[in-house]
Amino acid sequence: MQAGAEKILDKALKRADDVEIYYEESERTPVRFKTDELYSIDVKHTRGIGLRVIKDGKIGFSSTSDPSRVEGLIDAAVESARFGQEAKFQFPGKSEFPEVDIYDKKVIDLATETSVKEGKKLISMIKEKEPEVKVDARIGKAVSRISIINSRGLNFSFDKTYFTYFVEGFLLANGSFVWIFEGKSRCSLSMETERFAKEILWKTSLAKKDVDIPNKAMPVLFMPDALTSLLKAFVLGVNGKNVQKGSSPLIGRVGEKVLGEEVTMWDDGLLECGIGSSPMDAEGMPSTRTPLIEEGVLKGYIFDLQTAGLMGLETTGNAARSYNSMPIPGVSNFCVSPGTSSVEEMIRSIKEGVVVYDVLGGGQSNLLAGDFSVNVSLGFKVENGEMVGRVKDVMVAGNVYDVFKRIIDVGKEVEEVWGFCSPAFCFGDMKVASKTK
Amino acid sequence: MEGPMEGLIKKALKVCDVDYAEVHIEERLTTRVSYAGKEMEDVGTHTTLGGNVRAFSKGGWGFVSFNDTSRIQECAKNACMQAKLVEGKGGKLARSEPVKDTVRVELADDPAGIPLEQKEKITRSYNDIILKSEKIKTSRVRYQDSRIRRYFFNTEGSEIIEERVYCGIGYYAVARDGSNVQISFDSVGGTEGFNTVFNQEADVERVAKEAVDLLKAEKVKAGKYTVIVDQLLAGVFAHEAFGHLSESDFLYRNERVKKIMELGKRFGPDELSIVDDGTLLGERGYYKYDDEGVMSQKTYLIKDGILVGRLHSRETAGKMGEKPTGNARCISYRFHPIVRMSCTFIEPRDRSLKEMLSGIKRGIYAKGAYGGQTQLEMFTFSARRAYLIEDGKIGPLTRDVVLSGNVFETLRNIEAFGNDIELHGGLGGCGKDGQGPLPTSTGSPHVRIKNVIIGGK
Repeated sequence: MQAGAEKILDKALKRADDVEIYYEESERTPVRFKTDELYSIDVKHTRGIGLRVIKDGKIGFSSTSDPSRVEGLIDAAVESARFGQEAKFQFPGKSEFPEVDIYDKKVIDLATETSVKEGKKLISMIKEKEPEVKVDARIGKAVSRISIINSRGLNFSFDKTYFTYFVEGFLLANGSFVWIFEGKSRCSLSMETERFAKEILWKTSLAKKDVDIPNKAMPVLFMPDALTSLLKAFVLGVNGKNVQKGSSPLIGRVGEKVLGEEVTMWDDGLLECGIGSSPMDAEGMPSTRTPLIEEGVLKGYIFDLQTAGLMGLETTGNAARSYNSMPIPGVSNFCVSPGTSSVEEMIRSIKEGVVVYDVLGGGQSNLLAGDFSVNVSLGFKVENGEMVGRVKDVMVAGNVYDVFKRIIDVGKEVEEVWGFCSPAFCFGDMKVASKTK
Repeated sequence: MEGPMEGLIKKALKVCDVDYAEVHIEERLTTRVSYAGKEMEDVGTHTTLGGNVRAFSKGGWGFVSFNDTSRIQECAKNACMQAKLVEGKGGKLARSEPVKDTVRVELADDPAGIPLEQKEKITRSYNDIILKSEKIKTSRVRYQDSRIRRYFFNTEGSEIIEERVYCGIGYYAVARDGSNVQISFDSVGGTEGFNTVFNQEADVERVAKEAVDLLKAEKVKAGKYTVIVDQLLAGVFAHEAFGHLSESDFLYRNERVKKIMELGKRFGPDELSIVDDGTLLGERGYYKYDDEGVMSQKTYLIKDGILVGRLHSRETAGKMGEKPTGNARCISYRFHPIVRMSCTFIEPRDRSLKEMLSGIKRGIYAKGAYGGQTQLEMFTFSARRAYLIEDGKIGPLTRDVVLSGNVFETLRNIEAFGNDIELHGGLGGCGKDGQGPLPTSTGSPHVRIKNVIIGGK
């Protein structure tokens, strides 16, 4: 394919001033279980080419998954450049890329039969203790190759492996439905069957007991999974695209204290085995670590080349895309620094409050402005330092720029959840709305 | 006349040595144009060629998708091998007569034949309308069309070639006043051709105005209200809160849910009928054959208040001993077809909006859906915009109106059905099991619902 891409580059250069070829090829193999049984084994091969050109100072783009359509692809990219945005950047040339650990041969060598066996083990471990729970699971591996070649001399490829293990327990408790999710996605193999089964089991036993909760403000502990639906507001806020368009509430506030001093956040493109890690970003800039919030103070935003160029700034190496889309700024691994307390200690110090494991309705409020209003789909009430049962039909609401100033404590254990890497956070005085009068 | 693709597919099916196998190949030409603020963000055409082989053995599935069609035979062998490896506990697909058919789409203004200039021009003109409004911080106007040709062949003798053409445009306005950021948006979309996106100027202007007006709107006071829901929000409610419960891939696996959704049970007043209908030509949710080669149909889910039907793929119909309904759909060749809706709507009755308003002392008129999420019987939806109703009249704009409740209770609480049904396709669609957006339509007349819980301050 590499040779093919070079040919396209040469051909396209005859009709444009600058050219970039983005080539992507991947193979995913998910093994899926539905309702306690193995359901399907899939293989998904994907490949595609994105062609970005600069012609008469303007950007053009087109893509195809059919390499036999080279002429059509070039025609389409050149036509696109007639209407395209004025380019405020140049494609980056050759560069030294950092070493980053994103390839694990154990993932490649993982046999389908092993995934099948692990999934079956998981299901029997859960069913043995909790026969009422229905289990869905997906254990998947993937390998991808990304190549970028451009007319400024860049010609670089890297391979990356992915391993995903996702479990969903479902049960009917006291006339209502409970979903319990566990999962992980990394570049390295981590078959955590026992841990997932144990988590599902203790959560199931506690979820069977419903407890009432008063309708008032109280401490709320967000576990890392649930916290991601709040962190997404910061992901939008620091996105250079929203800054450039004038819609981020963080515009013009670099250097200002915007969150509590307990909060330090950064984007880490080099996190070991992180699902968003890579040696270069999606337009050939070296990946890096970008400070966003330090001890509550806003340090900066994330950018790709064009968005930074529009603002007269430098890219942070955060271009994200697939072969059929143009780069936009995107987070790689969004990291939040840990505190010093264990989750047990944090729970023990709560007199009356809620521990939130999962939420429903994230993203349907005005998240760009920081507002959230979520239903606690899996959460437990804490009384005098102990979790006593499940709360249901409970909403927690607020604004992230406000609640992240009212932090009671931050956990010391960091968990990686779908590109977020964060500890648990306990917020004080959070509005909890329940049906109780 | 048999083309090269048909030959390739037949060769692949020949190597399949399982109970059942199918090949799906898709050719797609997509045009996207999108402005955000003053900048052109995306403009141009994209082509896709890809396919999959899906094999079924004793209740288990093997599935291989690919872009390189020259590897199709190898992929077919693999899919069969994987299906056997699953070692299913048996199970049959419901019977479906093999079909040989070619469905061409011939439109006077097929978007594939419209020059890029025109698509860019209309997108820009709508964007300009939004941007000229004061207090608007930014905008997004997104045009998209696609022309798809899909081949569906199976080992039972079905040979279907169906073309589908989609075209739509969405517009989105962001107004900001200090830290107060408000948005509004809308979209149109369907299968009728390029004219779908014409004449939206007034609607685009309305969207921009709404975002600005919302800056000054008061937050709604939380409580229980009688609510009039417009066609768009009621349609989304019918789809999200109720329709998904009618999808049998969820039902057949859970005895207890099956019991809740028992046919013959009363689900609402006599006037309540909810339908899923994939046969409505021109609608975004229209298709002739589903992605298992079963013809689309009109299925009553609730008729005169009674639960009478549900949606099936061949697999779920087989498991439940019922007939397929033509609702097995996938968003592309990279996914298994799963049970999905097509065009889902609440049937109209005889009331006018004015009649419905009269008699409401203090209520809410909720329009459009901002977002929504359901977890079986519980739902929460936020309205795009809402007005207070005071003494039977539509009053001031209010914001952050979130409706929530139990779907069964809410269906029973619908006390009036309008005579003004509207169907809506838009540009997005439905998401399920990681497959989205799938082209669907929703619809309803205005409906009046009592005792709706509204979240707010």
